[in-house]
Amino acid sequence: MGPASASLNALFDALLYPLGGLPAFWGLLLVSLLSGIGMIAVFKAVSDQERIADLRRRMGGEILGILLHVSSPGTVLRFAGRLIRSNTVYLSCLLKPLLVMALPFMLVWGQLEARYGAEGMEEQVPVTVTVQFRDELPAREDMLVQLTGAGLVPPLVMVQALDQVSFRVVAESRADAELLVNGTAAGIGRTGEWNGSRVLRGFDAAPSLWRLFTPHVQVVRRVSGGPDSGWYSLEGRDYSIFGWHWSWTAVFLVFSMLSALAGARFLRVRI
Amino acid sequence: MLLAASSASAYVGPGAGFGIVTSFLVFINAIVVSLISALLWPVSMILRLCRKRRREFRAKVRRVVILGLDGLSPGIARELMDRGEMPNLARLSHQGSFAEMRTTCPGISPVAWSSFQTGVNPGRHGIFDFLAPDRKRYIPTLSSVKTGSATSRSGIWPFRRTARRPFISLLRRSRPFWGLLRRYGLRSTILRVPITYPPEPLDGHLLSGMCVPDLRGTQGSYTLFSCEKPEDRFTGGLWKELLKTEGGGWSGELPGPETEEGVPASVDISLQRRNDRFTIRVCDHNIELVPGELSRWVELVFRAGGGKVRGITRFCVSEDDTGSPVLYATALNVSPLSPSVPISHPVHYCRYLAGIHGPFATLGLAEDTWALSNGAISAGTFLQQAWSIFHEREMMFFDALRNNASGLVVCVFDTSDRIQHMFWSEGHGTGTPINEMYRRMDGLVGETMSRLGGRDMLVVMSDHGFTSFHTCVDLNRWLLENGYLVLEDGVREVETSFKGVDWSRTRAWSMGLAGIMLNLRGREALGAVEPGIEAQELLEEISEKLLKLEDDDGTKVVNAVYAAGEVYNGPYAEDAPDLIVGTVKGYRSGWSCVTGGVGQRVLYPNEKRWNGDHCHDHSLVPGTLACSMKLDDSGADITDVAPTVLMALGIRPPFYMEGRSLFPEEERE
Repeated sequence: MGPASASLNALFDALLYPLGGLPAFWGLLLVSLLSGIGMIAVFKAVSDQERIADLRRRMGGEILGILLHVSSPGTVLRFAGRLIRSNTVYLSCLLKPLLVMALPFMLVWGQLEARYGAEGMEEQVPVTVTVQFRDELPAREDMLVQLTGAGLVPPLVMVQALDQVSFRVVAESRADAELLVNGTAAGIGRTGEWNGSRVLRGFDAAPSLWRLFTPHVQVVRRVSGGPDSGWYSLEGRDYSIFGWHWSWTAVFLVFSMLSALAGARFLRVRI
Repeated sequence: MLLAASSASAYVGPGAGFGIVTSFLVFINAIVVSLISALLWPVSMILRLCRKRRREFRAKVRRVVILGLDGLSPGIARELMDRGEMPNLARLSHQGSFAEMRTTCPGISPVAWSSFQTGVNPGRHGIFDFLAPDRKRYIPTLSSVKTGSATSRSGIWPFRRTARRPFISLLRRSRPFWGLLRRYGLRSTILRVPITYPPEPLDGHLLSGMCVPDLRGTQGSYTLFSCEKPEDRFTGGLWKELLKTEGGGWSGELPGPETEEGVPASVDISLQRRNDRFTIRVCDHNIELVPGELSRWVELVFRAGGGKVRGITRFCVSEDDTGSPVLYATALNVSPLSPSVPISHPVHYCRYLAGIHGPFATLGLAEDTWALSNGAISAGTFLQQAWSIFHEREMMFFDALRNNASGLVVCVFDTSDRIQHMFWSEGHGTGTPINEMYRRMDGLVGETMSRLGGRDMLVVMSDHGFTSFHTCVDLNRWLLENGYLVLEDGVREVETSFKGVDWSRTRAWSMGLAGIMLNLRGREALGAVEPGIEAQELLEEISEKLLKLEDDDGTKVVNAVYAAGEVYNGPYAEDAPDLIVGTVKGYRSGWSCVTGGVGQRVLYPNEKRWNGDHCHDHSLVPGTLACSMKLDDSGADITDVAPTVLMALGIRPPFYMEGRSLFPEEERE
């Protein structure tokens, strides 16, 4: 899993590097606009445009049929039934592009989430780290926590029932920090200085295929007696547009949709 | 993987995302409108019942269905019924009635269908021919529609602005009988009845028929693309050059509607050969063309008048002797999905039909008879076109039967008329196009009967019959040779629109398919005949001489000449031609004479492919009337249909209708 995940991260690092000098919002905006156009182009290439146009025309006719015969409930019901049937066929037509786009979309989504979804660690702002052990928690005296670039804020809270250990850390600078728990090393916060670099919000020593879609969780080497995974309570990034607070998902969805709409018009895509 | 996805699962790309979101909107829309309809139904039902109680008589039927088969000849139908080739019409005849029906004078579709829908003679609806003479300018104009532009002011001072806005008005006067049904709570669906453009409001749905123009504003002009210019000039279409491109293909420009600058907006087309087929690219469509076969409808978008004008066309490619492609494009039909002129009532009725059944021909005269006449398409392609238009119409008609369970459904099929015009000379024996057409019309009658219930009345009718057209009669040449029409010095022949006629010395002129007009002082711009006795004597003189007109073999050419005063009455009778010339079978007004030309001979052979016609003495080309109910149909006239339908629905025909109800005497009360 590690090499695949690392290659993917490297690829996106390279792709997004040119936007690294921009403020995060502008970087995300550009990525959203390009993603929208890219996805609409893929949709055009993969979908059966003739069939979709035909179904849209037919559904338009069925809606008009309902309006034209509104005083005749029997006819209206017949048209409503036909409309629902056409709509189901239409949805089935969307299945192929949906399946084709699902994997790349989820990869892109994960990468953007990792890069634009959260701030890195702020100076003097404590971050809670929760570490999960697989079987049984080591004894308190056997617990070894070391930090580089950040300081540990006691106490160390051990929850035996959940096999978890929690503690707080405070960054010493905005640079990335590193955590070492019983031999397992993992990064916290940014992996680079530039906007658009990954912000690590956890680690996983026993990764599954799913970790390809969550690059904010660092894939680490498993150490005997070390923890399985961990996660950090980093704040989500807040994007301010005209005084409104937007999450990265809102920015991405809205602007990719707008660019997709414009792209659909420009590329004459039937959706 | 999809199931495992969390936040991403709700949104997999904008395309599919939009699709899914709009789909749910459609579901909600369908449910909400259905609920509203169900809630409103009791109110509308009560209103309709109250209106239905206004009916003067007990309705004989719940619904009247009129199947108009343009030009269906009762003689041929009877013959084929006797031979067992039209079993459904025979069954209808046996069950109810079948008879010849007197048509209008002259027996021409716009005149006859106008009388059908209004129940009055042409003197009361004002349609006397396809063309109406402009007596001030001596030029032909379309008799049923007036289009133009008028200055209109809008806004308030100081933002008042003046703009020129186009207008379209229907010139057919009087009132169609379906316009009366609203008062009685009865709905109508009227499909492609001639002379219903622009559509008039009614309680129900209407799709206009004959006289709907194409995007160029004509009654149908096709486009022919070829590398070499055709040697002969042709009417009814345009020629455009196909230019060879560097990639081994061809390109051309398809002209559409006129822009404000007066030049046509056009779209580019490119053609590529792919083995034994061609691919045409136009307006982002890539269409594969099999030589000799018509393509599907293709939507074209023109930029004209400050906006987009959408039209639809079909292509057909063939190869000339040198192997170069010859591309035919049908007339640019107004797109039913986005009509640039009103072709239906309500306006979205045509969108509904196109949505349910796909794009369809909207042009009034959609079957391209000119293209066949000029050799632009083969007989096979023409028949393919005619039958596909028939199929489109059939779909609409069955849709109307399904959705309009009470009231009135009228649908006119033109295929019967067009095929007889173009294939008359082949006869109607087994295997001929006309024979096949009659059999398919019979199939349509059978299919219609199977879809009707016991409380429905089916009327199968035609506006006129058919006969041959082998000889042209140039009435203007005859008037010239007899001294009634005078040309300016040095002019020997007039191609069209009376250019070169000396009006100060002309006493009579002919325009249209059967009319002769006197050049009457006070009525025509340069009138030379004094109204009153002089005019009357002149009319009698012309009539007498015309009745003596004979062909070289002694065949009498004119069966009867009717004075307008004898055959028409009503407020518009004075707009009629002064004389209507009823030619015998086989003889018809000459091609150029119709539009104001003066040829070189009075009688000459009709060399066009158009070899069947009905523009003869109307008594020789009666229409057909068949009904699922017993009718007193002896001496039935086309104006009788409207009162009969009204009586069937329990409504007293209005006083102005001239026809009579055809129900037997004992059933009338």
